[in-house]
Amino acid sequence: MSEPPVTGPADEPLDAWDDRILAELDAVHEIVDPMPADLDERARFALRAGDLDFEISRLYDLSVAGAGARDEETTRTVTFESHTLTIMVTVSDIGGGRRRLEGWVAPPDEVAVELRVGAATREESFRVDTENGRFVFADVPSGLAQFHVHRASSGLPDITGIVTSPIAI
Amino acid sequence: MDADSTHDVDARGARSERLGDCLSRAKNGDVTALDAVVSELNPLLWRVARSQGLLAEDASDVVQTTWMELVRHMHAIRSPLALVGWLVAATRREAWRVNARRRKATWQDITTLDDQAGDEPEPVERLLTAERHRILWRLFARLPERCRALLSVIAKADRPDYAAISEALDMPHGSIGPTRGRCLAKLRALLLADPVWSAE
Repeated sequence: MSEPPVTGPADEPLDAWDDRILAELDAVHEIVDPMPADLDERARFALRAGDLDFEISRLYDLSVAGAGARDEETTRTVTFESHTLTIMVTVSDIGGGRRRLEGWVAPPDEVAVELRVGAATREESFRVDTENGRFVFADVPSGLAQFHVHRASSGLPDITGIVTSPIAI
Repeated sequence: MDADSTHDVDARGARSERLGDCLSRAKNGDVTALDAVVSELNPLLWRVARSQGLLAEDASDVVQTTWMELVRHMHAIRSPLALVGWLVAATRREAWRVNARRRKATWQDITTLDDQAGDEPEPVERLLTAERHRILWRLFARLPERCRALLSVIAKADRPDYAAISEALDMPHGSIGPTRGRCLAKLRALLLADPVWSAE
């Protein structure tokens, strides 16, 4: 549909009043919907994922599975999904800033699961091998966490793998 | 050209040069060079994700994933201007994936504090202590959804990027920059008709 040429306020160049409206609109958004304070750190952590040939597995669901009497007993279940694989991880707080992670990949497969955890500037990594897709990291630090799932069956574990988007655990 | 706009042009030129420098260092293998780009553009990408109707946790994930995608595709991005447009388009695309499988958050969700655990959602207006801000928010809410999405993002952007961002958001050509465009013209008319705003 072709419209007649518009003449009027919409066609004028932006002026100082427009700049002021946009500046105030920005200020209002900063008050009602500020960016989370940890988003820069999360983005930097994500940038350090490294392996570019990996398929990205995106956060699908995040739910509090059950909160115990004390905060430390809280567990959460996080699900990531990609075209080829679903990863579910239950995160339990075991006190002292430590976490226990129990997870599985579906469909079940012989995989190596690598966990990066920490922050952009200091991170630790852990690795477990599994034959049936189930994996446990019994005691790892809290922080930002990202999973790399390497498939053993392909024979080229670093080509067909999955990397999740980082989450805070 | 007055002194102010000369200064602005210089500042924008410097920003563009800085982003371009970070991008080429990253292309040469130093991914930490993108840290500065993250600081500079994350607030814009957050706004894009939220303007697409995502709840906070999804919006954060979408922004992170966009940065991971950037590392894979940055070799095809030639200029700092293209970088901003690419990131905005990628964030929107990621947001679509999420919206495709979730109920889209309603304007009501966005105008109440959805992340607050309390029983009663607190109306956003209560956070706005300045009268002109409350008026602006109320009038802004009267705009069509696409206009709200565009303007909430543009408000966080630099003027030279307006046209590229508008295009990345799939708005018609001329929606904003260098001319005002219909969305901003409409908001401006509403504000001019308001006694508090027009008095200033």
